[in-house]
Amino acid sequence: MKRFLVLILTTVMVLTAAMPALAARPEVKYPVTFNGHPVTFDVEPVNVNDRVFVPFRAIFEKMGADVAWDEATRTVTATRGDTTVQLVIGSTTARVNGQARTLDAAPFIQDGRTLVPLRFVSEAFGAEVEYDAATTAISIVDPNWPRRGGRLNLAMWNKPIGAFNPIIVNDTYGANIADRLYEGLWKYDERFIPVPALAEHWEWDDTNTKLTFYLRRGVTFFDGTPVTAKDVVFTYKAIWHPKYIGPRDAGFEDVLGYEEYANGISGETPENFERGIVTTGNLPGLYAEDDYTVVFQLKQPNAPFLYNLAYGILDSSKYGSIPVQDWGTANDPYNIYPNGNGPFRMKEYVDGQYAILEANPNYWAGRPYIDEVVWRVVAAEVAVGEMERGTLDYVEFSPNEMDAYLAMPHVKIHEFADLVFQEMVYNTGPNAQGEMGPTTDVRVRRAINHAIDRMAIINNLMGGHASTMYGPIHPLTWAYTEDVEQYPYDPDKARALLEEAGWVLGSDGYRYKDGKKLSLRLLYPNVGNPVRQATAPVVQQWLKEVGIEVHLEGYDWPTLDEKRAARDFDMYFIGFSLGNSDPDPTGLWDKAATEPGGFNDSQWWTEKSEQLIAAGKATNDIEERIEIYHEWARHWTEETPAYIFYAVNTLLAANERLQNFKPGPQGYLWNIEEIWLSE
Amino acid sequence: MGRYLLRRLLQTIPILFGVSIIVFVIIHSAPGDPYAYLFGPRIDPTLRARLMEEMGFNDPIPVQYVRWLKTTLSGNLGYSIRTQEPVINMLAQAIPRTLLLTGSSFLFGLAIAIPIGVISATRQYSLIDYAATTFAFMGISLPSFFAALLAIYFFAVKLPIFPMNGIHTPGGGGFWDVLHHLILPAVTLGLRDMASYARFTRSSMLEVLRQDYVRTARAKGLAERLVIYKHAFRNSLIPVITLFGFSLPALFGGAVIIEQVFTFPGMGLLTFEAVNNRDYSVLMATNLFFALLVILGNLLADILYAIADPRIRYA
Repeated sequence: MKRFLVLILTTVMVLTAAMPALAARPEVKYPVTFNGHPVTFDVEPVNVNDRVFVPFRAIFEKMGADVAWDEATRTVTATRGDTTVQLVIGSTTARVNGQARTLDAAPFIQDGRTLVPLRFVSEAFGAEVEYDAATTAISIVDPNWPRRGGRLNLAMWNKPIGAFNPIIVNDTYGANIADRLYEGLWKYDERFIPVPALAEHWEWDDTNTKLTFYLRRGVTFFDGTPVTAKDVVFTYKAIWHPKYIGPRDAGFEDVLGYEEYANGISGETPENFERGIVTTGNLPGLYAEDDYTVVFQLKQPNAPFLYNLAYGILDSSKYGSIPVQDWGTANDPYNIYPNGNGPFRMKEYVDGQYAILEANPNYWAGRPYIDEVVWRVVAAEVAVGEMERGTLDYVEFSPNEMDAYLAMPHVKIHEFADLVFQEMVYNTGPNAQGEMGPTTDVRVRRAINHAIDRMAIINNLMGGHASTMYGPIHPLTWAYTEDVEQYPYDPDKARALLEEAGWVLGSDGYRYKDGKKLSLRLLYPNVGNPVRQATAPVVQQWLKEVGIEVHLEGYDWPTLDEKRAARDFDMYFIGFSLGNSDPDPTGLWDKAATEPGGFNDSQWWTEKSEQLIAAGKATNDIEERIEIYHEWARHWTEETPAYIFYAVNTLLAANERLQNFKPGPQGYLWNIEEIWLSE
Repeated sequence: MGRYLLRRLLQTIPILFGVSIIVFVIIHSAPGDPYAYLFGPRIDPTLRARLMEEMGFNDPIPVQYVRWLKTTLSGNLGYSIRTQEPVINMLAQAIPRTLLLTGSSFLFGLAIAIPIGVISATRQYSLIDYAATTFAFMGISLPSFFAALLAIYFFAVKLPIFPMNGIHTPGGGGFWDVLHHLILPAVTLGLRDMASYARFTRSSMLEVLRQDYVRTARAKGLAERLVIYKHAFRNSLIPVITLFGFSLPALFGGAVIIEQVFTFPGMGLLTFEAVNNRDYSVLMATNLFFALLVILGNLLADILYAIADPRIRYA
C-alpha cells in the first residue's frame, strides 16, 4: 500500500483517498494450494468421478512448465526439464515422456477452458498431492519447483525514519518494510483489485452501511498468538484514539461512534483516553461479532470506505499495554522487531545501514520461496554500479538512465503506469496577504493552460515515459475520461483569453491591467525530481511568450510546504500519488480540504463539485459512479484549479534472476511469497 | 602551563554559551518545522495546534532557549523530535563510525603525504617535485564526490575487489570484513587531505633545510641521509603535528558526501539529515559538539606545539 508521505525522497504527496466496495468472492469448493500458496483459477475446479479437474494453463504455469496447445489434434503438451506430459481432450489415454498412461476421466472443455485431472498432471512432474476430505482442500507440494532460498537485495536511497508500526509509518522505505511484516484485511491482486488477505471474505449489507469481514481461521502472529476480530477492533480504534497522532486517521468520519471515540467521550475509560491506552472493547460502529467476525457500521453509504481498511493488523495482547503515542518510537519494544503476521519478520536492523527480513514459515498464504530480503541504504548515484555488479536485484530509475540499464545483459526493464502525477496548482483564493491574485480569475488560469505545451514536456523532458492525464481523475482508475476540456497548446488562444480578462500588452512585452504588471510567483521544489525542476524555467518561458512575467522560487520541502499551507503562492508544482484506484477526490478537491492543513491549497470548491463528490460516495453502483465522476471531471477542468502535466510511468530495472516478479501500481512486492530467484 | 590551561578551558564556557545562542536562533528561524512529518498531512488542524502548543513550539524563541538550556545543563541532550530516540544514543552510534572512517583516512593520508612532502622538498624543482606537486593539486581539486564515484566504478564495479558501500556485510561483520569495507572510503577521503598534508610537509621541510643548524650538520660532514632524517625531518614535523589539532573537528565532523556515497552514516550524515528534518534537538547537540571540538582542537594544537618545540612556553 502506498499510503504514506514520500516527501523526503521523491517529493511526491500521497492522497489517502478512498474507493468502491467489491463484492466478496464466491465460495470456493476446492481450494488448491501449490507449495502452500493459494492458487486462483478463472474457472473453478470441478469434480468428475472423484477426480478434481482444473484449467490446464494455470496449473502448468504454476509448476513452471511450458505449455503448447495443438488445435488439430486437440492435444495439450506441457514440458519442464526432461519431462513431457501430453493430454488429449476427450481421451483417457495420456502420455508421460511418450509412455501411455490411462486416466480415470478424460480432459474436457468448460467455459472456454480445458480442464485436466489435477492429481495426474501434478504427479507426472514429481509433485505430491494431498486431498483433505474434511475441508475439500487440495495441497500440491512440488519439491523440484520452483527453486527455494536465496536473498533478495534491495536498495533504499535514504535511511527509514525508523517507525515500522503499520499505523504510524509515514515514509516510503519504512512502509516497504512494514508492509512485509504485517498483513491487512485485504490486499491487491495482479489486477489491482482488493482480494482477501486476513479476511477470507467480506460483504456489505443491503443498506450499504454495514460492512462485515469474516476472518481466516488459523492465522497467527509470529509468536503463535491467533489473529482474531479483537485485534482488528483494536487496530482501528488505535487509529481513532485521541492520543494517536499518525497519518492514518482519515476517512472514518462515517463510522458510528467514531466522533465520540476520537474526541475522548466514549469507548474507553477517561483514564485510558488520558494515558493513550487502547482496549479491544467494542464500539457502536466497530465490533467483534465473534472471534472471527468483525463489523464496521456506517452512518451513511460510503463507497470508497473499504480502501481505508488495508492497514496491517496489530497484536492487541502486546500493544494493549503501550500508550498509542509511543508506538513506532524508541519507547515501543515491538516497533523494530514486531510480533507481526506478514510474509516476513525482522531478523536484523542496523540503523542507517540495512534491514534483513527472513521468511515467516507460518505465513497464511504459504512460506515465501525466498529466505531473506535485505534492504540496504545505498546512495542513488551508485545504483547503476550495484545493478551492473549484481548486488542489487531491482531499482527504480529515471528516463535519463535508460541507456545504462539497456546495456546490461542481465537486467530486464519494467515500465508501467503508476498512480503518481505531476501538477501545477493555482491559487484561486486569497493569498497570504489576503489579496486576490490574477490566478483567481478563471480566464487567466485557462490562458496559462493554453500557453503550456504538455506534449513537449512528456516527449522531451520525460523522454516519452509518461502519459497524458486530462483532468483530475487518474487514467488508471475506472472513472477516467478524456471527454473534458483538454487545453491543447495554443498561445494565440492564451493571448485572447488574457485580453478578455483585461490584461493588455505593454511596450515591454508584458501585460498590464490598471497599471499593474501581470506578474506571477511560481514555487517549485528544488530537490528530488530533476525533471520537475527543469519544467519550471520552461513554463516561465512559455508564459513570457504570452506576456506573463513569472518569478521562479525554488525551495526545499519544509519551506515549500510552509508556503503552500500559508497560501503564499500564485502557482506551485507538486507531485501526488493516489493511495488507490478509486476516483473519489475527497481530501484533495473538496471544501473540507481547503481548511488549513488540508491538501486543497488551491482553495477551490463549488456547490456543484461538493454535490457531485457526495453523490459519488453515496452509491456502490459502478455505472452510476462513473457518470458522476465524468460530470465532476468536466466541471473541474472548466474551472481548472490546477494544470496537470502528466501521469508518471515507473521505470524499474530488475535482475533477470527474479522470477514471478510483477511490479505494478499495487507495489513491487505485492506477491512476494511467489517471487523466487533462479541460479 | 597549568594556569594557562585552566584559563583556556574557562574561556570555552562563554564561547560555547554564545555559540549555542546563535545556533539556536538560526535553526529556529529557518522555515518549516519538524512536526510536519510527525503528524501526517490530514491531522485535524485544531489537534495539531494543541499538540504544537503542548510541545512548546509556539513559545517565543528566548523562552524555548531557556528551556533547552535548562535540560542541557542538567546533562540531558534531549530526544530526537523525529524518532524520539535519546540524542546521546544517536551521537554514541555516529561518533565511533566517524572516527573509524576519518581516523583511518587521516592516518592513510599522513603515511603517504609525509614521504611525498619530504622527497619533493629535498629534491626541490626536480621532476619528482613537480610530479608530487601536480598530484597534490589534483588531489585538492578533485571533488571527493567525483573521486568516490571513480573509485567505486573502478574498484567495485569494473574490478569488483571491494564492496560498494556499507560498514560491513549485512548480517556479517568481523575485523577483516570491516577493514575490507573501510578501504575505499578511507582512501578516497584520505586522498583529499593527503594533498594538503604533502604541501604542508614540503614547505615546512624547505624552511628547515635553510636553517643554520642544517648547514652546520652538513659542514660537519654528516651523510646527507642523516642530515635530512635526523636533523631536518624531526624539526620539520613540528608544524605538521599542529595539523592534527586543527584536524580534530573535521575528524569528528565526518564527511557528508563520502558518508553518503559509501553509506557510512556518521556525524556528517546525522547532521545533514537533522537539518533536512529540522530536528532541532539533534542539530543543537551536533552543533555544540562541533563548537567544542573546534575550541579543544585549537587548544590541543597549542599544547602539542609547546611539547614539540621546547622554545615555546605558555604562561
